[in-house]
Amino acid sequence: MRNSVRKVMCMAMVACLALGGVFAGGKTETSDPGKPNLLVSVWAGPHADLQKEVSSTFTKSAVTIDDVDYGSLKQKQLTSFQSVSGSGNYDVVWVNSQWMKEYTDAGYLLPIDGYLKAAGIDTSIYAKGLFDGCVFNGQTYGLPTFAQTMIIAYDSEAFEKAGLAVPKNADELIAVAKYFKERGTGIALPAKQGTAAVTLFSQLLFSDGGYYFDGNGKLDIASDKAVQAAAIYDELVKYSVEGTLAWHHDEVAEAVRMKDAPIGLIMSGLANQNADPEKSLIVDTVKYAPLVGRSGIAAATNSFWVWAVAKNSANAQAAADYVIWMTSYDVEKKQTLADQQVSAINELSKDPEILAKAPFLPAVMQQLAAGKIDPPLANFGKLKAALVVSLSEIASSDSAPADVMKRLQADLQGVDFSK
Amino acid sequence: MVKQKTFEWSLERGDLLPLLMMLPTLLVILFVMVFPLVYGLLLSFFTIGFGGSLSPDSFVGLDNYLQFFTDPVAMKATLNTVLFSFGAIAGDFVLGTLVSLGLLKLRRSASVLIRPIVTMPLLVSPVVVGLIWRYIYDPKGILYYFLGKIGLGISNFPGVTAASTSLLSTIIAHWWQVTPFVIIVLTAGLLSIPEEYYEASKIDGAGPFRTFFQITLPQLLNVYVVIMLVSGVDTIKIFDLIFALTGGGPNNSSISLSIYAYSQAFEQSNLSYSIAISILTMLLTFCIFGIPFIKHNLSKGNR
Repeated sequence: MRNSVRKVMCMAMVACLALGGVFAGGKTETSDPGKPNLLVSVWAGPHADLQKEVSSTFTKSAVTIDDVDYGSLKQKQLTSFQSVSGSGNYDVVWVNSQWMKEYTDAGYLLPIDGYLKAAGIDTSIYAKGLFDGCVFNGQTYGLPTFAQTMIIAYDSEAFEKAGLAVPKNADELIAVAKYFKERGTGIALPAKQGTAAVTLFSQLLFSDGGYYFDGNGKLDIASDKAVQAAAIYDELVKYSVEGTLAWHHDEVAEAVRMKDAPIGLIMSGLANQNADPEKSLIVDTVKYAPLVGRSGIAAATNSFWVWAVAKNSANAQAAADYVIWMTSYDVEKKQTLADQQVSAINELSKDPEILAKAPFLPAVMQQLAAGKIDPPLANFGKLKAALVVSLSEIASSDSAPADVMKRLQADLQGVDFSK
Repeated sequence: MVKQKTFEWSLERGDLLPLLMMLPTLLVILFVMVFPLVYGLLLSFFTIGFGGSLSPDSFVGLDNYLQFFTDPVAMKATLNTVLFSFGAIAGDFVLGTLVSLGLLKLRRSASVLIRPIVTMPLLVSPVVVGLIWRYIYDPKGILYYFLGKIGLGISNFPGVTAASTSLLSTIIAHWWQVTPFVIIVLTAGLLSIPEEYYEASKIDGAGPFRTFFQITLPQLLNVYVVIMLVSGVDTIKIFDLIFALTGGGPNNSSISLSIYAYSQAFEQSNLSYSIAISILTMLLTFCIFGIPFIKHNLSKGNR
């Protein structure tokens, strides 16, 4: 009896240790004595595993990847930037392009022009719109990668059955959503209170030639084009699948993959999962199209990630070497072939081998080419936070989009958007 | 005239020994608790973001605190936080009392089996609770499956997708997680009530309700006060559960003070205002739960 109790306790302890190992966080280390150790912060998104795998082949340093969920990533990076150099802080950070202005203003990132020059890097290989998002006050603070934009993903089989054509403008998109809604499903889109809804709104706004500010740099969020974008968003939410008000990007992509929605507005960074038979029911039938505005033009909110060196890194040279290596043609191609991430290197988007693997790439590149980036203004975060709530109000209530946008314009009148 | 005797400190006699023994603890309290609090308070009188430094130019006095009282989102977050706190604690009390009383009525073999099962949610982290309930509230989730069985659907109870029910939905998820804690504490309290009281009430012919209100409840009063204090502090600073479940939406209908403070610090880089919100949250907790607790203890002391 006593022996059997001991056995059960031993098994329980082993199980606890095993589970502890599984849930002990996302740090993966490739240690090698004699080499510099680099601690790298990345988003624990769909590409984190590949980043770990690729990093393990970097020969100049021993790399430890710390992958953190998106909700905690910025907070953890900011905390690391405050740490004393060499105290276990991050050497390299994978930064969302929208955080770059804040990070560089605060002096958290190291300019890498000297390292790029010494390594003989030609920065013109990167898409200009994306590379420019890494340059502040004439200094380069990182190299761009992993461009993302919101595109249409649809189940071509469902479209064929319904006799529907791919929407070529926002009105056709609303009509398609309405058609499916009347038959029990609808369109999948991110309508949870959060930044995903702002990305969708901004793309609709940019596609029809609008922007947040007028020609003089004054806030113009109640303009005809902004109200129109908000109204399109409202209509799409009206004809969306039940539950979208609680959905962010991940849930939208899953709804499309699992055939809960025959059409969805997904982030291109999640499109690779549609081709995974273990995760997707639309492997053979999924197709992609640009997310178009009323004008029929598709323009992205250019969102991408930046490999950057933390200013408090104790291994700046090794960190810069790693950044340059991770964004080199060969390494980017390897990653794109492995999981179809969209690189910032122009030539890669024309590579036939890559095009065959990433069927959504033409739609993404079309949108990126006409895309705009969010302005690097100190108070842009205030506008974005207010937009998050306003779009949530539009989606979850009967408030007229025009009234909500006018109120937003009035509420933000006192905010300085000049710098 | 009587000469007053003065105390002479003596190192040889070891008079400083008690102080030296306490010194490590005092230093830890000073550096881990007092210093960050004072520094946070100081930062709240400036207007800086992460990486900013204190300078006379960035001193704004009480502006961050005054802004709080004119900020409609902050007011909404305060109301939501208080509603969440009272709703959560009320439900914890009622459900915890009912379940712990029910478990005591069970046969020992049954209660030994059921008690660990009932208390399991306590072991789950709040973020995971949020994720679990996100799937429960999903239109294809278990909640709407059962509601569908009785002819109801998402239009009858929109859960986290509507402003009218989002806060309630987060409160329900909180009940699921925290009621087990109340059950454990109340069960310990119930077991400490002398059996003779119940025997006497039985002889006097008291029914179950009268027995509960005249014996059980007064005997558990101290236990309820402790639970209220612990749950109160826990609910006023609620963040992770709501953040995972609704993100504070729709339309800020479930935003809490902690989520608003987080948003100000990490999304809008407004660190000083975020700290001011956090300090006001601390004061709110003290006013709602700390003062009644102190009063209760004082009245006990007087008795």
